[in-house]
Amino acid sequence: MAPSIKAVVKSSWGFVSSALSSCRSPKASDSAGTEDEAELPRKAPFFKKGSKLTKMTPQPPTPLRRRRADFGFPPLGSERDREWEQQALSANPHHFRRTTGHAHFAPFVAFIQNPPYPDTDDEADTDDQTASTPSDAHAPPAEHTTSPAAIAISVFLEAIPDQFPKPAPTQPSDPLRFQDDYLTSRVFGPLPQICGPLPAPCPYEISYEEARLSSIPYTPVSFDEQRILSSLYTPFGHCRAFPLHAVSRHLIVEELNQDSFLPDAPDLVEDGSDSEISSLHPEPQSQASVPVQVFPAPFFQPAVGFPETDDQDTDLPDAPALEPEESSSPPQTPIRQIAQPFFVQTPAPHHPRFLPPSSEPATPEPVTPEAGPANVLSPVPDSPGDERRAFTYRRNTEGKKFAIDLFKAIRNDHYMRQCRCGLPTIFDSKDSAEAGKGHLRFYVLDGNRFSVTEENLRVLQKKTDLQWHCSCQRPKKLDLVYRKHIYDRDYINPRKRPAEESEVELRAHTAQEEPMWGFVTDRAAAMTATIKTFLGSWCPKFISDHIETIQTRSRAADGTESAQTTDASGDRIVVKRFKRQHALPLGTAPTVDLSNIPGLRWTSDPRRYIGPENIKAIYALYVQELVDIEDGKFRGASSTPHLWMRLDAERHSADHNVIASINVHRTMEDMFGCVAFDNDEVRHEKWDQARDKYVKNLVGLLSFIEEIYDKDVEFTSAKSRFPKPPTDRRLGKVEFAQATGAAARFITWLLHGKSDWVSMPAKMMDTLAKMLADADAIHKHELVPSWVEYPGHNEEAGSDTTGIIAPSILWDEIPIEKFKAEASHEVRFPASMYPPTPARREMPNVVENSPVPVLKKRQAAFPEHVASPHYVATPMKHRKLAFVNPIVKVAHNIREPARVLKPAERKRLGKEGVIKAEDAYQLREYHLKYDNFLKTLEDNINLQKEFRQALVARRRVTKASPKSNIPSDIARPTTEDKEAKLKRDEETRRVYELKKSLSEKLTALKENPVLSPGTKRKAIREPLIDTPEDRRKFLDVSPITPVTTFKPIIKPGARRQAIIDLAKEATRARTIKQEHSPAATPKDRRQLIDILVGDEDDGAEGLAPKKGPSMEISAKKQEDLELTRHLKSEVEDSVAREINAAKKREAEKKARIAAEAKATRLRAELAAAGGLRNPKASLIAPLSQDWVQKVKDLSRANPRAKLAQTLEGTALDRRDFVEMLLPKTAWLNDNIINGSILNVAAAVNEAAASPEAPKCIAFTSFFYNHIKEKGPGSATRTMKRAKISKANFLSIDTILIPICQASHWTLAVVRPRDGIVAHIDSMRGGRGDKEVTDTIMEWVRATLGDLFVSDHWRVHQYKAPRQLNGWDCGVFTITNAVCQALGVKMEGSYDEGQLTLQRSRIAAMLLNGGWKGDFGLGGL
Amino acid sequence: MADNPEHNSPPQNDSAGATGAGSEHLNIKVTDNNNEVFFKIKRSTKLEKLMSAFCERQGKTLSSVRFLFEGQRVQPQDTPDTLEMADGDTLEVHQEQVGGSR
Repeated sequence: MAPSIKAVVKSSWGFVSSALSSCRSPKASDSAGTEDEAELPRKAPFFKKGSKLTKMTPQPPTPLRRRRADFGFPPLGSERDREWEQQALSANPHHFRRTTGHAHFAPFVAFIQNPPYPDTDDEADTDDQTASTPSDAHAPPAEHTTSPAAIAISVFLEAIPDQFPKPAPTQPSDPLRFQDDYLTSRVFGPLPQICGPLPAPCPYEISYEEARLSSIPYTPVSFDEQRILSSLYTPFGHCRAFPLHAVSRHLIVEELNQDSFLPDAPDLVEDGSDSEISSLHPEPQSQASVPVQVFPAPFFQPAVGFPETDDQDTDLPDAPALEPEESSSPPQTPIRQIAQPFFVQTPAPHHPRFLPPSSEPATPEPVTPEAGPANVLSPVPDSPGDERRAFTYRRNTEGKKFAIDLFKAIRNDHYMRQCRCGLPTIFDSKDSAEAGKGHLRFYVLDGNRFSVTEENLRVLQKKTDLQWHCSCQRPKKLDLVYRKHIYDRDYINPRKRPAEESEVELRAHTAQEEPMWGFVTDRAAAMTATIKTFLGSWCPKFISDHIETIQTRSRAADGTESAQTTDASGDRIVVKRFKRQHALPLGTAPTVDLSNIPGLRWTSDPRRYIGPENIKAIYALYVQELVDIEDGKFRGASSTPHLWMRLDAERHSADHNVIASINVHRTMEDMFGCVAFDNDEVRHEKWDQARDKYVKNLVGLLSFIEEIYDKDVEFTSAKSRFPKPPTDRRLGKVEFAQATGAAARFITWLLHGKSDWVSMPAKMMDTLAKMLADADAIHKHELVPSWVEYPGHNEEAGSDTTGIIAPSILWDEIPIEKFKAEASHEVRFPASMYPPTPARREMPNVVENSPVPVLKKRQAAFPEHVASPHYVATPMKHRKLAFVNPIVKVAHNIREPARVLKPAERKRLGKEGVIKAEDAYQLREYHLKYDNFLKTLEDNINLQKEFRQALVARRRVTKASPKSNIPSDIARPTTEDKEAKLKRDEETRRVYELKKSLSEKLTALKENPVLSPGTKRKAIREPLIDTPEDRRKFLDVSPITPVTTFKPIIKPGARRQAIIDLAKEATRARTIKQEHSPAATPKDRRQLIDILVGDEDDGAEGLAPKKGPSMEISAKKQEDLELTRHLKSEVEDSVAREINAAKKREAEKKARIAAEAKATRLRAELAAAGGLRNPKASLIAPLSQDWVQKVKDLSRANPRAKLAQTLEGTALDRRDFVEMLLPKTAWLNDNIINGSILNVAAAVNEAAASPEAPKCIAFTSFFYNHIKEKGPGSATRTMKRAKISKANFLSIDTILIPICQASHWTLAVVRPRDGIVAHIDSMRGGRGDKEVTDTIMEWVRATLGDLFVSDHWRVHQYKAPRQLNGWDCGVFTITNAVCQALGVKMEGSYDEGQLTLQRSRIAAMLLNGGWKGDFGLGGL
Repeated sequence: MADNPEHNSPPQNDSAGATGAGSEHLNIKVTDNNNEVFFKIKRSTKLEKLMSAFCERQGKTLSSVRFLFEGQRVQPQDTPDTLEMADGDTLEVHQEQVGGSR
């Protein structure tokens, strides 16, 4: 940088404010001021493309993103904007300010359009087009062309980046470089906008296309960055300050590394302009001086002594907290020692010559000659070129303390970053330091590293050695972050497998955010510090400038200055209200009693005080606002600056209401805070809510205005209630007071906003303030200014000034900033009356680190936010995806089989057959289920239909002829019908009882052997002919079913003969069999009577016995007939019985034939299967929970305990179960095999219940080997034990012989009844070994002796499930033994997949003590 | 121990033992394929003693071997009486049979 620039830079800081306030045009002070304006924009490309300033400048017109366009924001580079900018620049700034109201941007714009200094590094990069223009080619040196204001800003803008590490020119591939550029572009880009809206794109709204076109390095901005940017970006009250202690050590060193800034103290002092400026602006001087004096930067100070560290460091109880930058007195206290073991705490001798850096004045005094840095700091570095000039300068300036302070700063920086790296090495001597490594080399003069004081510690800088002593900063660099994860690739699960690509990415993703965020935080914190400094000095200026502009403009519009609402300074709104009478803090007396004002009375017109036209204007204003809002004439934006930009850009358009937009936006931000990061949808929603709230308030305000000033209802009623205006009474209803309170709060809110944002005619503000006073007074039951009058108020007593009380006695004037429309009780009982609640800690903007002892080893090995550094989620890669047919979700699962087929069935049916069968089952189930359902449904529907039809018919009928023609089935039964029915029922019952008693009597009579026939006859006759009427009824009512078949056959003429024939026959039959027929039933008797009656009347009339009014039959005849009747029924019965018997015989025969056929078939099947049948149930059923648990518990059993016992008495212990049986691939041992198979035999024999003639015999696994080795006759004793003899051998069903040969379990079977000898080898699918069968056959022959019939015996090859694995043969053997013992087929009864379960079952069975109980074999 | 095993004692003791204590003592040969050990035990002595003595001598665990008498597993609580053993009978020692596949 050219030195002349630097001189200007140094001196120009103070200039900035004056430059901005006076703001002379750059061109006006320039020699080339007559240049035409068209040239101005072309100066922009003067900068190098990648330089920082270029990024700060507004970009050439670029298409905007659609999102912004959606909001109605016009393109930035639009014709209108450019025109406006040029106008602004060309015109007189004063004029510009007054016309646009944005005067405070003028300097920025000017500066941007007119760059203050050229880029000396790279001219070749400039655009060819602009380079070719003559004005650019002959561009005068920057310091000649720029105005002081522009220079000032350039200084500011340059000073900030200079606090940051610049990419060293010797390190073109410095990984930080990218970040620096990035940060600069991201953070510095919007910087000018901090001070207000500037028509430049927000950095986080630049799309990729824009960035590409405008050469801004495009990086997607993360949320956190946005937050930072927003905090930088939000002006004034929203600007958040980051704690300074977050400053990185990097900054310290980079600051020291600057070679470019070597301040020249005499220059500073002698600079005339500086003194001039400071006299002009004494107030911002101290703050402004900080950036000017670059080297004793504020960054170093907080790094040296952290208040937090000092407070909480328990390691140093005796070390007084020293804050050298704060104390202006010489450090009398001993310098605090670094709490590290090798530092001995020795009070350092006081050195008065060296002052702490910050105690130095803004213009650093030249070091006194007797304490010259050269004298103090010995040895002076041999090679001055080794150290940066800034470093050397600062060391020389600060003296001895410099080294130790730097050391402390590094230490503190380590602490703040929670870095685990060590501190810089302290060398023993300077020579070793020179020979050592590192960018900063600390060494001690006396070689005593163990007592380091500021006296003996020195530091060297080697600017060529770029190696910092620690590496903790390195992962913050992006490429290193990535490298770290490359390293992690091996780190994840090193034993099993290398990490997947996705896992590495996952880690990289999670880990990358944090360092990046930390990096940004650091930078942003540093940034904010600068900005804060900047704002501290400059923003008030800008703000007041801005407001002044508004005021000026409004006054110019009004033509008059409102003395009432603005105070002496002319930019404040004052609320003028009556002195409080009772709305005062408790215990405070009112200063004046307003009720005693002479001449106090109600006013005649409440509008007079404010003025009807003012009220009307305000009313109209807000009605208009309301209407505009209702019409949607407002603008939304993501943030206040954005809103400003939009409003600014559309300031000429009339389709929106600026005040409404701003107020709704304010409401929104009050309600929800910053909305810049919400998506559009959310923001719109919030906006709607804010709008509603605002509209509500607005309506409240308008109704308040109406109530108070227009309708006069409340005023009139108050007037009528109180003859004189009361000072301490409520004037209306409570609701009214509350509404006015709300209005007061809203007006306060409006006015607060006004002072910040909205320009408004002073008169209107005055009106609003008066309304506020009224509303507040009504709310607080005070004297209402508008409603009262007294001499001197309302200009009434204009002529007579004698009795006027000075307004200052009666009135309070409260600036709107201090005015609060709080509730009365809050005034009366203020919060200060109560003990203060414990103050809530202010949340810092940066996460606060918990206090950790500085030099103690940290416990946490990993940062806390990493939940589990070793954990990596299993990738989804190996997860199987099951396809779920979407139809299944809506339709019945038609493929679900209704019954699971047995393995044997499956085998028999084959694949296709299985599907068919399942389908068939399914269909059957389906039909069963759904046909019924459908049928019911159909029935219901039909029923409903019928009912409806009937209903319709009835309605139709009723409608057509309401009285007649009613169908009988639907017609209601009449009362007559009911009675008749009752009567009939009653008669029926009576008849039935009569018949019953009659039959009983009859039977009793008939069977009574004692009574004479005559008596019998008489007795029978009597009840029958009880009364003629009874009899008639009895005959009349016949509820019984139709009579027997032969009745119609009997014709009236042939009647008698038939009866006689029947009687004869019956008599014959009776002689054959004894009478066992049951007593005649009433039914029979009725028929009997029928016949009887017919006989009596003898003719065609006989069939109509009802007609006969009275009938009598002879007792004899009756008896005969009765007998005949009996006989007849008996005959019928016997005939029917015979027919039935014949049918039954037929059926039995058929069944027998079928059974025989089936048996034959079964026998044939059985023979084909080697005497085996299909199982009736699943052979290997799942275990119950109890047994599962018991089997599980085996693993915890005592290893020596006897868990079970086989039938031969062998104890089974834990090893047998847990090692030899239960593991899926365990090989079974003889204990298990023998135990199981002996139990099988026992179970079968028990079921057969013939202990003397066993059905099933099982030998142990040693039997076969024995007979094989010793011969078939050697096992007599064993056979005797097993109760096998020559005699009973052939009656045995099964003999099971487990065989263990060559680590393979097989089963030999003898079925003596079937004459079968077999060997079942699971590995061969059931086929056997000839050697085995031969041996067994030999044994059979030897056992049977002469009973052996060779024709009877054969070797059968059974089929059994095939073993495919290498461990299950024992289980196969046991299961086959079970099948054989039961005579059940093996093949198809089970398969290999079930055998793991079978192991558990066997274990459970052994625990159970055999195949009984839960493991019973009966069901198979 | 009354039934002290006489290691590799010749079988000519048999006649003496049989005649001397015919009802009282038995000579029992215990053999696996490699070794033969003779035991002289009472008829009522549980064979457990014999078995454990043999195992101890051969350095085997009781659970890994099977003592068989005429193809019949000998239980620890068996005695020569229960097995109806005669003098000079042989107990065969077999390995535990384990099988999984061919």
